Amino acid sequence: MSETTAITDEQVTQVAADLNVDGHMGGKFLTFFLDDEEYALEILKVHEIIGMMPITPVPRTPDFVLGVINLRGKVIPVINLRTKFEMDNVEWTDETCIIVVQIDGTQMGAVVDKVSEVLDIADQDVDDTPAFGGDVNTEYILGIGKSGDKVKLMLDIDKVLATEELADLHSAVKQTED
Amino acid sequence: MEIDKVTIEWPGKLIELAGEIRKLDLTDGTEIIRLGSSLELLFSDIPGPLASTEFFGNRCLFALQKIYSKTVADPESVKETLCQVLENINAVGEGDSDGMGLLSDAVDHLEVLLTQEMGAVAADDSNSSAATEAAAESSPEPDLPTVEAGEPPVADDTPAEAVPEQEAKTYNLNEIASMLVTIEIDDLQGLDAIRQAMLRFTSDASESIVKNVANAAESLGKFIDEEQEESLLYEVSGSIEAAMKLMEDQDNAAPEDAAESPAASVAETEPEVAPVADEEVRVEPVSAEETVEHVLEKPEPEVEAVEPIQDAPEAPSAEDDVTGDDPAEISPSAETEEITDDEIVSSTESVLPLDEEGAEREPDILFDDEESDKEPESPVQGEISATAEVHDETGESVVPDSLDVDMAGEYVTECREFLEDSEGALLDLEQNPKNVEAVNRVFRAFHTIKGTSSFLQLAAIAELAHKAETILSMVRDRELVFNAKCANLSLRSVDMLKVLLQVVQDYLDGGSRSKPAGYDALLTALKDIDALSSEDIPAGSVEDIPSGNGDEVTEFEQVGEKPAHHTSSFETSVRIRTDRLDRLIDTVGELVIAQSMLAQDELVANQTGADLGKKVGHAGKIVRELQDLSMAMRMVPFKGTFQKMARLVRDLAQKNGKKVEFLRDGEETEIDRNMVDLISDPLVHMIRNAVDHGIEAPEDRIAAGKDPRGCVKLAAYHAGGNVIVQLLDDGHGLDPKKIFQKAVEKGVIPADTSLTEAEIFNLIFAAGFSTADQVSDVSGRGVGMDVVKRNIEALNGRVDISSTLGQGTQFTIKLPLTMAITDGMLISVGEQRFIIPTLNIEVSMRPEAKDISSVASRGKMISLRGQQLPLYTLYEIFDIEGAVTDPTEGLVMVMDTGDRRYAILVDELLGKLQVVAKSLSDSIGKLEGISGGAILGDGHVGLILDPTGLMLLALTKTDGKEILCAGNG
Repeated sequence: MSETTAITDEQVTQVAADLNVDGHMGGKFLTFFLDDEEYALEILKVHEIIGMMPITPVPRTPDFVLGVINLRGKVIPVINLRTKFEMDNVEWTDETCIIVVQIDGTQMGAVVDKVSEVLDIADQDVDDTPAFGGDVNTEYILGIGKSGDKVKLMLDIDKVLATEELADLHSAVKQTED
Repeated sequence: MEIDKVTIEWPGKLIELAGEIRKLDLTDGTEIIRLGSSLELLFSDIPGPLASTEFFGNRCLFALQKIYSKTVADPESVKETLCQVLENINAVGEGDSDGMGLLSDAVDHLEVLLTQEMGAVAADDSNSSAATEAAAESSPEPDLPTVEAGEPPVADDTPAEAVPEQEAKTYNLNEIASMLVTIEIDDLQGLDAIRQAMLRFTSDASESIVKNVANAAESLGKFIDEEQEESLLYEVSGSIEAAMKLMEDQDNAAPEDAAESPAASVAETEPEVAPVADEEVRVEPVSAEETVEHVLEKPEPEVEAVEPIQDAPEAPSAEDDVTGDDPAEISPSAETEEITDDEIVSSTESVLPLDEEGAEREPDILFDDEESDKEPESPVQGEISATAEVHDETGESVVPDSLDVDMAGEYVTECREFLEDSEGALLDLEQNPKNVEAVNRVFRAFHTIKGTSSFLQLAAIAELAHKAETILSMVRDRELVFNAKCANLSLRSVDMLKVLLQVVQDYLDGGSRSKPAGYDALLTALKDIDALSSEDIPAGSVEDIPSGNGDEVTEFEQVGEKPAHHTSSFETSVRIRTDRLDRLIDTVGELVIAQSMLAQDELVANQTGADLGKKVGHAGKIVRELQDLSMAMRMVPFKGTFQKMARLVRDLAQKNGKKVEFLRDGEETEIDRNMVDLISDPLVHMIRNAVDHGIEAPEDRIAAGKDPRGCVKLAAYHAGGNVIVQLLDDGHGLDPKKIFQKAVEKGVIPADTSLTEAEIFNLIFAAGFSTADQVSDVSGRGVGMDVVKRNIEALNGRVDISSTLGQGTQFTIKLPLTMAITDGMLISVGEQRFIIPTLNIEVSMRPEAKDISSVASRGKMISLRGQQLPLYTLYEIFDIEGAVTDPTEGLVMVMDTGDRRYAILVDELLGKLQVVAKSLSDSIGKLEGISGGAILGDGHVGLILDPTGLMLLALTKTDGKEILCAGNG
């Protein structure tokens, strides 16, 4: 969980650093939906939220990579979180949107079903990810946050969008093809 | 310009600070430092409504530093102007529209004041500001008479008391030199004062020294009176330096005498003077030795003028002799010539208080992190002390603890530029040792580096630059012929300076700062030349110089006009951070797209009659112009690269014992600055090959009936929107048979392959291939040419070879003007669109069925003008659905990657366009077959295809069989 690097604003960096002290996980989160599951994403990593726009597919990339978009002159990749989490794809609606996150200075977009809210999750409301065993992959989940009577899955977005992983998967794709 | 309503915090503080500075007691070092740090803090707070806040801030701090180090002629005015600058900054910050003009006026004024340090270096060393001001105000000239006696050793036959008489009306040579260095060339008054000082310079030293000085005075007079020709100034300082050199020699010759007279006077003035001398070692290093020896002197006419200065002046030495006596004693009537032991003694008494002041100053200096001790950055002064200091003080570290990090970055860039320039000039000089313009260029470069380095306390660099400069100055004064040894030493100095700068850079980046290996050796070597040259010049020949000078001067003047030109080119450029420039270009690119989307908007496009379309079109024109301009900003000439290559050729030729002439053509051709660096590596490889393998040894050349002197030519020019770089040599050329044979031996190609000559030549780009029979340490390991090709391809360029056995080889590199813009064809495959770089497209066509043939029922071939090319399909490579699969219904594009040709099937050609290529590798990683993305006219992203990558993909997708076909292509 080294998330201080990507953030430029000094103050923000400080806050982020504070968050990390002693493994604190609480703070402000942006929540969004995939199906009926609500995920929470550390707000300091969110660059902006944009509506759906034309996505140029990029050949020979893993299938969760939808392609690239033009974010005001920058070409940034967009991934489909549903595909990434092995969920079924659905039709895009008006609520479907792209959350642009910034990781290590590079921006990436993630398509989600809809954005929900920004909320505070206190440290004591964060539980460890339970082990489900078997097929359930929890490697992208940092913990379980509780807000009121609801449960949010706290996403390790760095891991989800890790560049290396894109590259790794990509070369894996290549190898199978070879 | 007091502002009462303080809206933001900083303007108020600025005004407050200006007030404080105004009230500042100039002698209060601690206060100055305190104000300096507040100022610095404040400037870092200013959010930057003023684009150049940083600049102004630096100037203001510099001014304060100058006041602190007492190296300005008129600290009071500097102070006042400084306050005005601050107020004006404030005014601008508050939105006063006139403020900017006033501000720049004030800054200009400040600059002028700051440069008026000449007389002052001599005059205002003491702490008594009032006196200094009085002196400065009374007129610059009178400062000078604060003459110090010159050359100690000279007085061999005279006992201490006699010294004053002997050296009447004398300036110390060092001082004259330092004045020369610090003066601005347009300060005629100051120059005249120096000239006066020179004229008054008498010494029983030797005829030749005096003559040199007189000569300098003459040149200076000429400069002042008529021509203002920079080269004259060089002559002046040249003569002075020559005189100093002679003086030094004499010093060495008669050390006992030198030691004696000062010893005597020290003994007399002892208790008080000694500490001062110590002090001065730091403050004004040069005078350290001399301090004791100085005997004050005053020419009669100026006596009145001198009075006020006396408590302020310079090196304590001056005080020893005259100072303390003050107006009362040195009234006009008190002829200086009559200064006796008694007077000296009496003066030392009055020196006492000064000493105490000096002592008081010490804490300040320490407080300032010893930043200011060496600060009186008149380089000539610094140099001598530097020689002594480097070894004991810097030890193994090149960079002082107190390095000003902000300034150091700029400094490194600037010095590198100077070094590059001087390297080029040195090479010119080697060709034509009489080229005075080149000498001056190098001299100027070393000189500036020396100056700025000593300012930043980079003593090791300053010393090296000084030594190198000395050689050049001797060359300039025709005391030394610019021979091969000289050239080597100078170039080695340039190299070492580069290494040293790298050390500074590394230190800034957190690396070590230890002295690089070879530094001391080089320094010793440079000293050797010193010795050698001074021995070489017997007194007689020196005396000849003045007479000879006259003729030579005219000759030099004509050539010498250019240096001024060079300076101006340095001054008119602005350094911009590349990331800002990139952002600007990105933004402009966006603007272009936004504008074209607007122009294509139905509302605009379909409008009839109304002039909206016209307006949009007009805006479009401006936007495109803006785009061209912003692109042009990235362009830099090849000059620097070519100069580097010139150096390389020279060194290689020397190493290999070959004679090689290096010709450059079109070095003003411009190319994207990012590419300039990248093209350098491949060029180095190619030039190494050309000199090492291409050009034959002189005897072989003679045997072949060629000029023993080989020729390597590097040319650059624009052609058809590309930059062409050509490298030609007239060596023995490439032997296709030998290459073929070697390629077969190395298993690069099967023995039964039939290749055209061009294809055979292309084999040298294969990895692990070398035609050299012997591996040398220069080249021939078989690495190199493959790297060349890779690098050039990475630049979207290509390289071609042509060669005639026995006559030479020609490499032609074709590069796009800029990496930022790719000329491309927009094509479609199914629903998707791609951009293919135009550079790689040879031809596109719609084939007939008879042109297509099938290979082993898998791959396809297409026949193009009788040649069989492999035909790949983009839809297969990228698994795109809904694409045209029948070649006769689609479009076939023939791609040329430089060594291979192939055809690729696409659906349709949509148009030609220029796009700004953007890397995808940061976000997605390296993608095979795709070199980047670009924003298309409709705002969507288009992917740019990489022809080489595509081919590799195609080969892995299909059976390996087609590799052979490709090889045949």
